[in-house]
Amino acid sequence: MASYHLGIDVGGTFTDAVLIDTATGATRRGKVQSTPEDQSIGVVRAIEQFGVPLEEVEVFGHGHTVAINALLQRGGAKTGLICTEGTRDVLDMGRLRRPFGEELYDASWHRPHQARPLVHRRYIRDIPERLRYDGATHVALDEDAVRDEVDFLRREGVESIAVCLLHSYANPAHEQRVIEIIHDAFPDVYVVSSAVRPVVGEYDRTCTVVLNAYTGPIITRYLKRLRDQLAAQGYGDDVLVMQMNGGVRTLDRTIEEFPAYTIQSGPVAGLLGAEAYARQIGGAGNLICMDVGGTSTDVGVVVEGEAQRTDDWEVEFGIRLGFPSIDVRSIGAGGGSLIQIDELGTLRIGPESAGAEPGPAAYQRGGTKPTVTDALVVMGVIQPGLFLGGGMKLSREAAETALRTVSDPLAMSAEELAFGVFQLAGSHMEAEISKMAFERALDVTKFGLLAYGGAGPIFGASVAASLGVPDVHVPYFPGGFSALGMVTAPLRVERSRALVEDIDAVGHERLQALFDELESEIRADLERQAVPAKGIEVERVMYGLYSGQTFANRVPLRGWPITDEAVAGWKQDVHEYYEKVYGYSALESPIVVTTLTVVGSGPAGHLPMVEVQAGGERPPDDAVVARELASLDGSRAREVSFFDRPKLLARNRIEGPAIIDDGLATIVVPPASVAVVDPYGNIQIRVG
Amino acid sequence: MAMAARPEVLMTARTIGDEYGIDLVTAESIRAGLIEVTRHMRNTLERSAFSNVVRDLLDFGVAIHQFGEDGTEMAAITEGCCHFAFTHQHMTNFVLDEWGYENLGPGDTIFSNDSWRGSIHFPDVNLFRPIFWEGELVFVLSDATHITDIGGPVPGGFNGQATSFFEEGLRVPPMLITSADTPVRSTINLLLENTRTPFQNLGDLRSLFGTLRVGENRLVRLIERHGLDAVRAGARYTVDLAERRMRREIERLPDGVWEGEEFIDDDGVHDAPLRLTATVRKQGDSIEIDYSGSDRQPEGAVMTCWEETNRCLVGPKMILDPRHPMNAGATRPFHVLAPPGSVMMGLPPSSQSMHVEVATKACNLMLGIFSQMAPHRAIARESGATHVHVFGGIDTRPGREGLPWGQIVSAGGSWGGTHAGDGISFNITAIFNISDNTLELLERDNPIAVRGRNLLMDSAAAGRHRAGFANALIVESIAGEAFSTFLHDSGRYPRYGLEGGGAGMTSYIFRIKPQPDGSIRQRNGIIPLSDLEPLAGNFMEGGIPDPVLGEWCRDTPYKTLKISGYPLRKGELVYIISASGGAYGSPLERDPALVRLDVWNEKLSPEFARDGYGVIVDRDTLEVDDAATEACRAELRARQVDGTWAPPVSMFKPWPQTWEELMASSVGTRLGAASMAAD
Repeated sequence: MASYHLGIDVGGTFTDAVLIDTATGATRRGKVQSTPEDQSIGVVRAIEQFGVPLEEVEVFGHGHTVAINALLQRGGAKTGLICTEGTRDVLDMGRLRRPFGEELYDASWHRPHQARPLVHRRYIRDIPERLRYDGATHVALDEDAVRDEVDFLRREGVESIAVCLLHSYANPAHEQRVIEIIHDAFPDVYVVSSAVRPVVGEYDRTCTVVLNAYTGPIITRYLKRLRDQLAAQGYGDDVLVMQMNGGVRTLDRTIEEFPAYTIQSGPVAGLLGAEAYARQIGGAGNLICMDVGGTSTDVGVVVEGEAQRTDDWEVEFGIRLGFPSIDVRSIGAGGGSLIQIDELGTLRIGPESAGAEPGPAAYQRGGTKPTVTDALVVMGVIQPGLFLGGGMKLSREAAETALRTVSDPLAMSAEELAFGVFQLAGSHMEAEISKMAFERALDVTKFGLLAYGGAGPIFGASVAASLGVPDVHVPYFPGGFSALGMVTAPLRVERSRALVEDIDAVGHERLQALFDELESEIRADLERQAVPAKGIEVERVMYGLYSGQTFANRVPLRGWPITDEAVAGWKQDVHEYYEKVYGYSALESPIVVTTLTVVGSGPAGHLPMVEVQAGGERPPDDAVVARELASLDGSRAREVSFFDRPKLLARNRIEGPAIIDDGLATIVVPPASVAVVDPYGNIQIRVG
Repeated sequence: MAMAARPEVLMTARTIGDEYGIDLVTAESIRAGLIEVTRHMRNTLERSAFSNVVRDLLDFGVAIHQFGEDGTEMAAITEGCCHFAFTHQHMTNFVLDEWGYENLGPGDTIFSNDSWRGSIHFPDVNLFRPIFWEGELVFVLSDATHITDIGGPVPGGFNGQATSFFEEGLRVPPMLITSADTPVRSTINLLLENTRTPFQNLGDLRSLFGTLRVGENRLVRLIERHGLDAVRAGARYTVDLAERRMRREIERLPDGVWEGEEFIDDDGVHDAPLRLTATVRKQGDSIEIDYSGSDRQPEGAVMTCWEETNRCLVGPKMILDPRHPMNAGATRPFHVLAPPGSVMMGLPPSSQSMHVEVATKACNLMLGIFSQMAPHRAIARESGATHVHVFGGIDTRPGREGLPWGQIVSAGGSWGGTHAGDGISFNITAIFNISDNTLELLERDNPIAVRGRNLLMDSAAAGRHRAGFANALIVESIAGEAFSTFLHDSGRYPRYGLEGGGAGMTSYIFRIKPQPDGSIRQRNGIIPLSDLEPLAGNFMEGGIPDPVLGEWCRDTPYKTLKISGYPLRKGELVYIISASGGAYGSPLERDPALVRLDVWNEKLSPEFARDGYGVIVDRDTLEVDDAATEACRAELRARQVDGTWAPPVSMFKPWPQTWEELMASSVGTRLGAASMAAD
């Protein structure tokens, strides 16, 4: 019986699937229309495409967009919130923050939760009770009031209740009692409390609890439906659901623990694919990742083989998930992004998009507004006759006419504008990457740039050049790369513990004991998910800051077991981190450790080893499918060779300017750059 | 295919090429790059600072100034606190003109906090660092924050009773704080040994300095990438673009002369209100703002000097070009006259310690005048006060005995309705726009408990686009002796609306009388009068608050809301209510569904929905009675013509005397038990 690994990534428009034959490494890609009314229908259709019996699927990795859609459309569960008397408006206050961009001076801007609440104020019930910072009771819990409010929420028909009381991280007793009362009076309701993440900070914690209460019932319903659908098809094994921490969890554990951790599961998986790619090619494993799709570009970074994380991921301005997540950032610049000029003549790309309908003007489906794709057509990068393997005819005239609506007022030619748009879109991507690199104090010249998604490899070389990144990598499957990432993701569990103390006062014995405790919890959890003990890898992190500060910095603990030297080494790392990131360090200052974190991972999967037949430096003659006029650098258009990717052989070397057509993606090799095909079919471009 | 209407543009690729010698895309990349440098600086400062004023309240600014023949111009800023976006342009010139650019070298950093050299008040400290490229001074970076203490008689730096700057704190003229990147110990010692919180101050100074270094590295990389000439040209383009956008908006307004006025309750020392007035003369693409006629400088510290010639421009910015990043270009079309010796331009030895209420009222003075000039973009006045309060004292909690503490709690006010929609609730005045604390950290570091921070029912001024809701802050002292200082105003006069919109309620301060068991009783921000002792505000007989019928500080122990050093013993609580902004448009034109939504969300009582909006919402079903609403609105319209009705000033009425009355009123009941959708 054959054995397969299956990855399915449900996106906004399409559901991508990959199927890997574990014996041969042969990999197939599939794509079906997503089914927003019930995403599990599309998932089953995607599986049916392959015509493989489900019992032969050994690993099934999955990511969905059920929760992010519910959040964006405010279609989550009808949710109530029980909070401390006097804090009823904590979500609408949002720490009084405003974004420091276009909205700062705009009196019509409202904080997202004020404008579009997740929990309506009517369903936010404050109850008399009060703890102090040290967990001591300041005002006793008024249990009658809790009963009244729970009864009110029940009669109002909420499906989910979030419980977040002040200082509950220091003492959960009041919250626990509230939950008991809810269970007695309203047993069917979905309940989430600060227990999901008992950390200090009432506003952010309330957001965490509310996001889970708001999306939990919906994700749970979806996953159960998927489980039933698959069972009906004869699939009895686990589905591994992509989590935002870059690991997977079994479907049942996802439902039980923190379903909201799957809000952003698709883009995260691309980074997992990148981790696997880094393992495949060897070397330092430093990659900047750039996924350019139809409406947006997702960027992230892999350092020494690991996708980097953030604690600040937010759904909308100020509404944070509050859990460590793979750091993937989206900007509204993709192929369908509109090119606009405001009335004052500032050129702007996106974030509005022409979408799939009407799409770019060149598609001639009624779109007249110019898009990035139209600019690429006018540049000659996308050839009207070759698009989607010639399956769809595009119109250069329509693209040019659309561009002229913007280029004429600017007194530019359509070609000048097209190249300007190409550069400007690239500089948005570059700005996001450099911001990320800055925050992490990374030297981008020591990185490669991994470009995927349909348009990623179009911009890859140009963005790399302006960043000063020497090489661009285009994986064998630039399209469907996220689905591939789901197959390669390890099972991963993370546990944290708050500990706000001077590191020198803690002592290495106590640190050792605390880390051991976290580690044994992690191991037990992973073993419950069927990871063999010997396959578990453990990473230990401490968050540190100078005494008197509040922003905690994530600094890995390198020494193990913990000795005085290991602690001294970590302190040295903290000082160096400050010098590098903040421009100063305070060597005499005590360092406070705020949180201990242990991350445990099961073994990660591998990218399929597609070995490409070896050839010489010169590509086969029949690999060139066209020679067309194109301008890749803003100069006069000249003849450029278009290569058909499947015909390229390992070791083939292509000098720019050239374009390689992958069917679902386009790869640009700019002038003075050289592309080389590696034994696995990946293409590396040395930027000239 | 029909061509889209051809947009008119300010600068084309060709004119940019001709004027700046760079192409459009390079110009835009550099503009974005300069802003990006300041964003990095902001992140650095926010994450690496030591005091809650910087890291939580974000009371800071970071900026890049281009250096040319005429001195410096601010090309990019990322705000924490908005006023630095207006003042750092002129302060950088003040300081560096005096110092002499020829006297600066690489690695030098200058410190100053002097109001007469463009700083705001002494607790706001400013650092300036010249950036050299191949031996030539090409840019200047600056940053500024409020620090926890600057010495002087009152901890925390706000001295409402100061009548000269000698009572404000340490005044530091420009001094080197690093010389060729070596710390200048004498300056640092001066700052640490004359202030109450040396540890926090040292941390914040380091963080400010590190932020400039981080900015320098980024800026140098930008120059390396594009070349010095291109970056200079791009910076010129950036400033010119902001100017052209602003001039164009001004040009679209009719020429003419407009006037307006605003009142500050008092100067904290004498009882009389302070009048601010301005005449705005507009011709072509330029504007003159003339403060002549404003009151003379008061004895108290409610005053500004140079900063109000710049900060007031936040008003036209919000109305004319709100969504473009701020830089010095946006200020070029304006000329501001501030008569020396007036409240806007105090002369030494006066103190600017309580500059804040001048800032909020000057901002609102401009919103009022520019809304007349551009009615299609009008913004009704906000609550017009700082709504930030300082708490401090000596800790008595175990393990912290004897430690001095001091923190700022920002409550936020209410913004007015605009031509486009409702005003935001819980937002500090636009000229500051700072944030609030995380309570759980605030209470860990300081012996206070914030017992309430809620919107106050019925407090939003009524209009087609209503104001944001006022809020009620309750703070309890939980250890030893504490004091509080209130940066508070708008207690005397309601905040008027626009285009028929209602006025917003006034500000109050009360002391709370706890129950015998120490508990307090509140619902929807409201505490019954039996539990309150008025400290300041508009009151009727018997301590009944009323913004209209009440008398200023009738029978109250204080005659001002600007109380400094109010004592709070353990277990004592204060109850501070912010004013509401004004509304835009007649409340009789507000969509009844939106009125109902506020009732449904327990922000508005059915009584105020009826009296203020003419909307009849059934108390049980919470449905709008369309026929009754139509009849009620028709009657109110008729009475408005007769002059027997006007939109009432927003406030919960009658304010309940007892807990039982409160519970029996609309605020005490759970409105409508029937299950209902939000829409």
